[in-house]
Amino acid sequence: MKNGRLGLLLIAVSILVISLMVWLLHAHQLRVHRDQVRILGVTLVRALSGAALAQLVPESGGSSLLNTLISVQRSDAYAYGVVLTKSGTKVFENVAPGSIVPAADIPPADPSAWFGEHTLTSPGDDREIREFFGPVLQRGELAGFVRVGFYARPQSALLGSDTPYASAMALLVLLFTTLPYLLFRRELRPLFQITSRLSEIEQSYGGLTTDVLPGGGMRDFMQRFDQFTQVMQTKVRDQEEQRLAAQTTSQLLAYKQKKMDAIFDAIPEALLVIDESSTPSYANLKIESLLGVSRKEVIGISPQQWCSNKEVLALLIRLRSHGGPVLNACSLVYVPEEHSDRKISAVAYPLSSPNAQTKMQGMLIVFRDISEEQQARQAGVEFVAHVAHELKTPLSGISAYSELLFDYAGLDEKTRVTAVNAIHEEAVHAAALINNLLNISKLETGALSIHTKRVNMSDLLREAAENMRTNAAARNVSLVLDIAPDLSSAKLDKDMIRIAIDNLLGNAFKYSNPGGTVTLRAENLDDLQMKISVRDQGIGISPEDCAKVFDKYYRSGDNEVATRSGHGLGLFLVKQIVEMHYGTISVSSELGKWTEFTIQFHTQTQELDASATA
Amino acid sequence: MNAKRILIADDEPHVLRVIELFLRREGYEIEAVRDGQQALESILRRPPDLLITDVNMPRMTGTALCLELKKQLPGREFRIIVITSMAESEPRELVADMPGVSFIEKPLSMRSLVAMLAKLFATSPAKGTSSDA
Repeated sequence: MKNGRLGLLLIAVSILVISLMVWLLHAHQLRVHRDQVRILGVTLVRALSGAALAQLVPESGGSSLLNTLISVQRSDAYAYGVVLTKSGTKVFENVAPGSIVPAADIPPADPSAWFGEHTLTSPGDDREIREFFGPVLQRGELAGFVRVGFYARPQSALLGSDTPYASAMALLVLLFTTLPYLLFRRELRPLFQITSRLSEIEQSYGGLTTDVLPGGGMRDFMQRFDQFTQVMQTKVRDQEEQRLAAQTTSQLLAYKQKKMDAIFDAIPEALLVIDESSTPSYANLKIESLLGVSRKEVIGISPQQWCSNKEVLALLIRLRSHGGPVLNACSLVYVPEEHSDRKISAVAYPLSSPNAQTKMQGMLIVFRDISEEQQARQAGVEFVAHVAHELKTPLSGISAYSELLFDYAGLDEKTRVTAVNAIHEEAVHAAALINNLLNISKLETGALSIHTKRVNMSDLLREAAENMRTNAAARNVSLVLDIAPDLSSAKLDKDMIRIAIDNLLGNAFKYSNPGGTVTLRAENLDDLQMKISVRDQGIGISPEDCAKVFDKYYRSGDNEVATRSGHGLGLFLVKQIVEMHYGTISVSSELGKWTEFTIQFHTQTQELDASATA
Repeated sequence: MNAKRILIADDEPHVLRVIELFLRREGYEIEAVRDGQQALESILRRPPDLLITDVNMPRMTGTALCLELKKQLPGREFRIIVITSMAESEPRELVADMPGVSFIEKPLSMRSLVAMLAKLFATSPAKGTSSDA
């Protein structure tokens, strides 16, 4: 708009300048015309005044001097020439075509007024006429007057002779005004475009109060540009602050993410999160050890490409085939192909969408290695079977002997004594087994504590050996005691140590072959240490089994062992008792030949008590 | 009098002794051994009219003894009573196809055993199985 106004202004100025030029030219031409008319009029009147009346008014057939001079002059401004008598009677006239001779007074009698000029108006078209007059003399006497009229103004406003000049000037003026304007406009166009663009940007940001300056142009541009730069500075500063805030938030989130990852990686279970299309979106570190694939091989990759187990794959793609509403948690237990000795449980929990609880957005699958759990459960089941079996053996003896005593009143004394002794021994045997069970139960619940007092170890060992005599004789196994004569006493829990010794001796007899020997040996290593060992000449223990004999419920898979009753608790209990006395137990053996269990502990337990209570 | 001869194999001395005492009183001729190996040797030497065996024994289990008899004396029918506990399902499965094998549960009731023997010997013409020894 402003650009357009400038253009109009320039055009108006150009027209004004051209008009002024035309007016000046017109005025100049008028002045020149008048001067020419005066010169011509005065010259013509002087020439005619000097002529005789007869020359002016010829006889019939002659030519007037007036006509001759007029034809010689040939002026476009010429209107008329008239010869008058003194009384004012027109005696000759030469009138240009279209002109009418206006009326005029006869000059006064004073000769000084005989020559003169004045302005008249043409009666036909009201044109201004400059008339020149002079006397016509006849032998020195006034004979009449001559009047010559010329149009004071040219016929046309501008004379044709000046038109090329005027046109050239007008063209120059136009060129000098429009050309710079066009150039200016062309050069400024980008500026206007930028201004317009700035205006749009400002509007798009909203709230910007940019008043359009009247006239626009450079000032408008500068103001807009200034505002724009201010706005941009503010925006850039805001953006920078937002960027820093976002960066801080991002770092904080990354830290939290790492922390959560560390927590999830520490969980013993493998975690896998899948989305609606069954594609994993998260997996913790344990996925590698349980599924045998790394996180990189799993995340974002369809299960068909990495899951070789059909059962697991079916669980993973269940969601995709199901779609929509929330599924119930489901689980499976499988044996991985590459580890047939392991069992893994996979439980899938639905993850419902936060916006729609009834719609699922994925599943969390928890993989857990349940091999040890299953083994422990199996061991527990076997243990119960063993214990039941173990209890049935003494009960069989008790039951059978009781029936013997009942049914045969006339038994001889020897048989009766044998029966009663047998019942007693079997009852003791069952009680010992039950005691072992109770003690282990107490151990596991932390209810078992030791009460130490000074014990004569030699007596304790001899009592234990004596108790085994019947058992030894029944199995045809010899029992040899090798107790050092100077064996010291020891401060310990007598009942507990007796349980340990009984278990070791019981095992030695159980795994001896008929005709073998069991040796119970005890000696002081120094003033503080005592060593007790039980050695048999039985079936022996393989090196692999030696490493496990003290484990709870452990029973060798060896056939020889399987044929002998046992519950896998005795040696476990012995080890616990020895360790409660801060002692050690070890086993050495040669398969098929012999086995020796050795206990070693402190005899002076005051310090140990102190350290135990410390 | 031609008393029935019974071989008893059990590694538990008290159990072995009481069965022996009891059955002698019932009029049977008894031989008692401590393990499966001794039992096998005794049977091969002189087959008894009936074998009573425990399952868990040193050197040779009761089940292994049964299978060994089936292998070494094919076609020969034995009367065998296996003393077992309910926890042991294996012996029953292993010797299920052997004719003449019965089971008695622990804890052992001597009255049940005596009744079982009486029934076995009453219904069976097994007397004289040792005649070819």
